[in-house]
Amino acid sequence: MPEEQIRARIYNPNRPPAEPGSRPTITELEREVRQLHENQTPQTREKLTTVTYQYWAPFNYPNVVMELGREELGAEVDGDGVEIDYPPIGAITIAEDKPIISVTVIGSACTPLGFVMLNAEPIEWKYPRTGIKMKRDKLWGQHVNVRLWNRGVDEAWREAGLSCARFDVPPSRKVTIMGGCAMDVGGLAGKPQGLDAHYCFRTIRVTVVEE
Amino acid sequence: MTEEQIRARIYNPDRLAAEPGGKLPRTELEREVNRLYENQTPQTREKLTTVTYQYWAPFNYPNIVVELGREDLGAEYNVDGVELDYPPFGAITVTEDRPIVGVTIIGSACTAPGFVMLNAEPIEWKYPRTGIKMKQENLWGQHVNAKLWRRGVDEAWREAGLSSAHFDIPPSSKVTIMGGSAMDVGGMGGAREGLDAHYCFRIIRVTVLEG
Repeated sequence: MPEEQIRARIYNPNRPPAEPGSRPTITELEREVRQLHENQTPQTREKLTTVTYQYWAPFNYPNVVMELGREELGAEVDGDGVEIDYPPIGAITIAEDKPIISVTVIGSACTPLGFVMLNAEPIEWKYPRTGIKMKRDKLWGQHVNVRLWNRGVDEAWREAGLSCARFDVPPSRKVTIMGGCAMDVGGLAGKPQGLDAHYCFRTIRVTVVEE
Repeated sequence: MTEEQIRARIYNPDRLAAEPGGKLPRTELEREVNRLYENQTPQTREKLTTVTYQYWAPFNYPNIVVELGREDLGAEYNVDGVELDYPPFGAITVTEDRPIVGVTIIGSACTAPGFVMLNAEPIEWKYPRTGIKMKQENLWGQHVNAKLWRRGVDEAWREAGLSSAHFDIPPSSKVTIMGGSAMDVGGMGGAREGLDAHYCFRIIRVTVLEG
């Protein structure tokens, strides 16, 4: 399946493209906030009954697509999770039948600080100027590098640890998660696999609306 | 209604004022932690059963007050949400019948990074030295500026995106939310509305105790 079909779309497919240099034409749905304000339409709050699903590495679930990326550059499935290639090459996409309103990622950087990015495809394309694209950066916590591990350094070492990133999103049907970490100056003396700018995904929790 | 009556109070109204230069007299309730410790009083954990309510822009709900702020400085209702004046002028206050224990904001900065602030009025004024005042900053994600939008730049542009901020708070009856974004060096050649240091609020989720 091509990447365009796997991943969450980040722009409104129902809006006609703009003429070069001119403003895009917003759809009727995209006018809603202004209309509600101008008409002073009373709104009714929604009560959210939710359930959270937990997914674990290596993410062998029928509703999850994991794109590992370039293994020759160090992307791998390892003892701590799935160390996907950095964006936009590596990605994990999750589709749910019910509206997704929150996503939590737990994992560790190869070389801190780590970052996690999220794209989501909304149930309704109502807001024109953002797309659902989010980012959490400056995430503390790294797994013990394999070369240190091979010399006997274990997870008690002060720099070993995890990070978590929580994203609250407008109701969405699909999310694509990516991540990475610092491009350190160290490594394997210029070998491509020494870059190690990955993020290792361990657990993903997806909260959906039940009713 | 005055601003003082609309917004969540951030100091204990039951505590007497201090003498000039003297120590503030604590209320009986404000001595509780020390008393529980000194008496080694056994405590019983509380089980929280919660429900989350979802509110959408433009926030025409009977239990919400929107103070938009100075429209001549760019505060507005637009297609992506409610772009409040920066603190302390613009604010959204939500009141609930049940104790509020969590608040989530979804929106976008005008000029990233954005920030969101929260004040809350506790059910019990038991802790003297903080007030419920919180802040989340360095929020990635901005909506496409109107001037770029008119030239055909849409939400696929790499800088367009959303942010979310989640606050867990002591049980409270009322919350006041404010926000803003960076005071950029660009803009409109000194025109006041070019400052654009706002945050555009789209969704507010409020979690309250049910039982």
